[in-house]
Amino acid sequence: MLSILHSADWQIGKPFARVQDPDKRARLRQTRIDCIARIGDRAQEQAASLLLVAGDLFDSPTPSSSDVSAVCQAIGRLQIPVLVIPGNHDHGAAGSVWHQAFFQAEQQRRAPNLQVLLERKPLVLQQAIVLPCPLLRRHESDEPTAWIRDLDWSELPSDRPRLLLAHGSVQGFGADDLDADEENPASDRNRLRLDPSLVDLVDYVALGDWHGMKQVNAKSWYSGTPEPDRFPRNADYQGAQVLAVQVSRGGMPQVHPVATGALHWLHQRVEFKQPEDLKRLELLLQEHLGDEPGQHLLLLEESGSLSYEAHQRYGALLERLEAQLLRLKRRGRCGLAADVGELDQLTSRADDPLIASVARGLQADLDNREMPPQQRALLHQALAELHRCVGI
Amino acid sequence: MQLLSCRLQRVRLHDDLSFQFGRQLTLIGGPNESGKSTVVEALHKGLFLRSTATGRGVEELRSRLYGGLPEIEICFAACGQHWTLRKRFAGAGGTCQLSTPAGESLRGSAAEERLAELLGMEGPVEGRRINQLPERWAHLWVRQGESGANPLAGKPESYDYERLITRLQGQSSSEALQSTRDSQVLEQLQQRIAPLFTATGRIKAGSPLAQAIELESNAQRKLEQALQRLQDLEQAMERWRSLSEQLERIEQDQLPGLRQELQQQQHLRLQRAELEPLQLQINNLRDRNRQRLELEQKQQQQSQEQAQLQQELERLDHSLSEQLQQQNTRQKNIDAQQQRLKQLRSGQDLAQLLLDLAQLQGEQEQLEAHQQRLQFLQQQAQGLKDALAQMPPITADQVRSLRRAEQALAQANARCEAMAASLEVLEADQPIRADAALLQVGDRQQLTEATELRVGEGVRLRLSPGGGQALPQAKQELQECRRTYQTLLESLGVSDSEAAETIELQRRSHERDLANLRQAAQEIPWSGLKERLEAIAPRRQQLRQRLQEQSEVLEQWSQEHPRGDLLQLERAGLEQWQQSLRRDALELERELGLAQREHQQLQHQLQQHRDGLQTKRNRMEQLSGALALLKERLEPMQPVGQDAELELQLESQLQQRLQQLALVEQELEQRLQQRRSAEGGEPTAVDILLEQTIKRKDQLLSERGQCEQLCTSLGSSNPAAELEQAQADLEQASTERDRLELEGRALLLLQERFHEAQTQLSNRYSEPLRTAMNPYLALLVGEPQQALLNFDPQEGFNKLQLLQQREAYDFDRLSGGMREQMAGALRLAMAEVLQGAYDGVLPLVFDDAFTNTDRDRLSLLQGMLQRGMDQGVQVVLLSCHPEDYRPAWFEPSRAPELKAQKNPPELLEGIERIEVRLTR
Repeated sequence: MLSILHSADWQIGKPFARVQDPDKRARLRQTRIDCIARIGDRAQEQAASLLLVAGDLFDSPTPSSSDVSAVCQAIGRLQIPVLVIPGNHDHGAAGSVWHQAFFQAEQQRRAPNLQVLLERKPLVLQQAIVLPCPLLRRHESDEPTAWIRDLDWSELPSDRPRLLLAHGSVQGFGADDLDADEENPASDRNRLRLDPSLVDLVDYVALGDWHGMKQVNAKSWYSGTPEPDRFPRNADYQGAQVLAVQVSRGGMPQVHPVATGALHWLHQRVEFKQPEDLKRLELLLQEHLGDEPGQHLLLLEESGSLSYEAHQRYGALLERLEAQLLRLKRRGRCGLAADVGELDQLTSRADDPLIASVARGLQADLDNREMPPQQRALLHQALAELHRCVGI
Repeated sequence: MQLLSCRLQRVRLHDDLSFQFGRQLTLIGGPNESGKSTVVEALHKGLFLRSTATGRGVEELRSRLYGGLPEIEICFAACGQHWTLRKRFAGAGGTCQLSTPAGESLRGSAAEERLAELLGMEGPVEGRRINQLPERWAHLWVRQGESGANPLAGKPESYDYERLITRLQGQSSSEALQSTRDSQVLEQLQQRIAPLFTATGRIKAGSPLAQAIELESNAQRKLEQALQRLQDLEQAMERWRSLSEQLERIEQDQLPGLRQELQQQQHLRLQRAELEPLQLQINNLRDRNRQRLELEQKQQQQSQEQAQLQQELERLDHSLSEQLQQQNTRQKNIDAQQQRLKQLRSGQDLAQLLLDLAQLQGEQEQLEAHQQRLQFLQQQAQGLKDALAQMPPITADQVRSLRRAEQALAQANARCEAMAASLEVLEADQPIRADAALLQVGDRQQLTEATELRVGEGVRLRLSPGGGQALPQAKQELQECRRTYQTLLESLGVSDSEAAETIELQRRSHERDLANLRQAAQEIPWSGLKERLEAIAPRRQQLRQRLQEQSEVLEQWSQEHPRGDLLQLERAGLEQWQQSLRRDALELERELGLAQREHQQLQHQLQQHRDGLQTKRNRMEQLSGALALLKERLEPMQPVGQDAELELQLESQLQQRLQQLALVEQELEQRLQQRRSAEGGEPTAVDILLEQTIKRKDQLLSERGQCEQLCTSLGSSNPAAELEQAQADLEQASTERDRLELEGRALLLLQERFHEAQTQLSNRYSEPLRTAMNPYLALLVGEPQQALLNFDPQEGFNKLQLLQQREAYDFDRLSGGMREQMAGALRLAMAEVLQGAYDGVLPLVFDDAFTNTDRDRLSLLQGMLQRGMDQGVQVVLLSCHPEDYRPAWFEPSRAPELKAQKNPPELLEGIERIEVRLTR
């Protein structure tokens, strides 16, 4: 029985450009490099004899030299061989990092245990046979595992487990949408055809590309990324682990995730209907985030609206969150809607006939339920601006 | 503000004019050019133009009649005080003084500012802004010719808009139309919108929104650039990969293959070179055998030909001699025929000679006959000519004239006789004398004139024939006729007409005969008759000589001719003989032609025979030579069998070697075929291809180097990270732009809604003005008419209309008279509304303002003005016809009754109405 660790999608060098604060950005990037050491710890804990990285170790085919150096250094500290294939982000085309002299020199100097598999041919190790399916361009025109189907197995040892290492999506699994968001669009290229005729030939299929952990079939797993880089779409999303795999020739693999993530990516939906909803949100966030700053990233999906007064308070809350969180991302929109009192303050101004008349007109328009949302938003905004001008 | 008095010094045509203003009305009358409009302008400039102004505004005030600078003094009441304003317009050195009786005195700018304040203005009009001057109190100062203009048509400032609104608002019974806060909010909105949008609602350049849009656009461009950069990198990598694959194919496949092919080709060429001597030997043997066989075959053919030619030559010789004999016979026949032809032609010549002689004889005889006949005719003609010469030349016309004269004479005689008295002596016993003539018994005498008849001695009778003058005339005619007749007879030389006719007939007969003779003579060719006769003799001599020369021929033919001597033959005989000779000659010529043509054909055939014979003889000689040569060449040659054996041996060796080479060739051909299908045409030579492939390899290496450089260059900045950064920047810019845009649109919407609300409330402004105006209109027109007016917060009052029987007419569409009356009503209403802000009184100046108004409506107009006065308006009326207004206001009996007055007279000073008369 061979014990291995299966990981993928480290995406070292991911810029996190949507995070405005450069310090926070640097922190996010550094966390991904630090994760390698945590994976090393898990390897030791699991007594793994091999670490497989199923693509996208780097975020791009041309990462910065400092990232290359840092990665080599981190990998070099691991006690076990690390086998890597290029994925779609860091594909192995000529000119990519894997062919660069700097990388090769750093690898030899700092990470002799690192082996990059750029050819589609079996790698016969003492413990296992590794069948790498590297991506040599961002979008491969042929199916990356096709070569395995024509393999002459008689020329290979039959006594050790066969580990297929591939990067790409799997058709019909429906996980694309779960994995992708507006910042990380899904790609339907590089489809892998993991039908039984292929899977039956091997003992474990280590997959990369999807950042959430997923089991495709009894032998095929996506490990997910060891350090999340996006907000989870739902509660099932698991994105902060490596897979500890026990595998033997002819047996079914035993797989269990081992947590590796350091940062917490939270997704909170909130619908504002009344000022109390804001209070509830505050309490909820207090519960999730605690007091420790700089450990969380929050996606706040807003809907509904708040009164002018509540909106001001909401603004203050958001300001606090911006400071506390590594990243606050807002999706949707919290509308501005005057409550009865605020509206009355505008429409019942006997001494200011123009203000009252305009406010009443705007409110009358807003009462029209068939008003298109964009026009409605404009009317709300105008009413809010009027409220601000009046300075109540 | 009430005008009290004024003094104009050295203003245009006024040297020094001063007058007081009436409390209610000042009527300034005067003819044209008496300076009424000057007063209006001077007062206006005094109040509103800065005293230090220069330029047109001041120049127009200067007097050309009186020296010195124009000076204007106006006394008025305002803010509860009397004020005396003195302005001296001296360009930049002009002065202004404003003083009160209480001793307050201001000068210069301070005076100007205070004056403007009293008049509700921000300041006096500067000289360089003279165009603004007419806008000052334009609603109160109606200049000549402007009375029909809409007072609201100008800028709102021209009719004291702000103050009017305030006053109207104050008069409105309803709530305030616009609160201070309303104004503040609107002002705040405008302040926030102003930096964002232009007046037309377009985004202002440099505004935060414009900057956000630009930022977004830049971010979009950067995103596209980043995307392009990433694509470029991917393409460069892909190109690199493709180049590497191509290079690998060249190095591992193409170059070794081409080199092997080249080697094989060289080997093949070498082997072929080695086989060449063997092949040459075999070829030589083959050539020799073939040559010998050919020579022998040729020898046989030529011998056969030689024998055939010999036989043919003999046959041809025989045939040729026969043809020659035939030809000789034919030649003799032809010669005989030619001789006979010659003879016939000499016979023909002879016959012609004899015929010519006979012809000459005939000609001579005819000429002689002609000569005789001519002589006879000439004799006859001479006889006739002589007879004619003896007769008088009387023509038929002359005969007819003579007959006419004869008849006239007879007629005249008959007439005389008819008229004359007839005297016949029947018996006489005494001598009777008529005039002197003695009459005998039996004598008859015709008396054509008075005649004295004496019978005896004692009897004298005068007998006078009757008829008066007719008888003498008849007698005269008779004498005339007789003279004419006598003259004719004498000229013709005859006794009477009968004789003349006879002679004339004879002459005609002779002339006719003479003409006949001439006709007969013309038929004879008499011209040169003699010469021709004389020429015949030599011709005959010639012919006889020629005949003499041919005497032998004559002799010969005379013997041959059946009638013997040819000289004895007549002309017909000769012609017949000549004809016979011609026929014979023609026949002989035809036969001779046929014989000659046949002879020529035979001659031609003979020549052909000779040529053929010569050709064959030549060929015979050639064959003899060729056969001798063949014999010489064949003698040294080997027999055929020996060479054939050697050839077989060599051939076998050659075939073995060729089979070996064919295998190599086949392999090369396969390669060639592959290249042919690859290149799609005739393949390139291997050595060239090898060279090209090496070049291609170098080129690909170079390209790969470039790709490598490009990848390094593009990859150095991590385009993927740049792309994400660009996407993030764009998202941020778009969000900011959305925010600003929403905010801007919301502000615009608010402003628009505010304006709409203002407009909705604006009727509350226009209503008090309409209310103030309608009583004036009611006085002006009997029927119910109302003014309509609109108010726009931005544009002020507008859409002035007159509502007549539910039909609204725009001000501009009204008649000239109605326009000036309605404008007057509006001005009065405006003055009435505004005067509260000016101490309860405002002057309203009308300079010749009602020129289009009918005289019968003048009283109505005066009623309207009176209402204004009653409401406190100080009317200043300037007119060329002050008498139109005098009865209403300056004759006590017809003065309108003073109604309840808004401003009691005791509050105002001065005389109620004053008339000022200006003279020219």
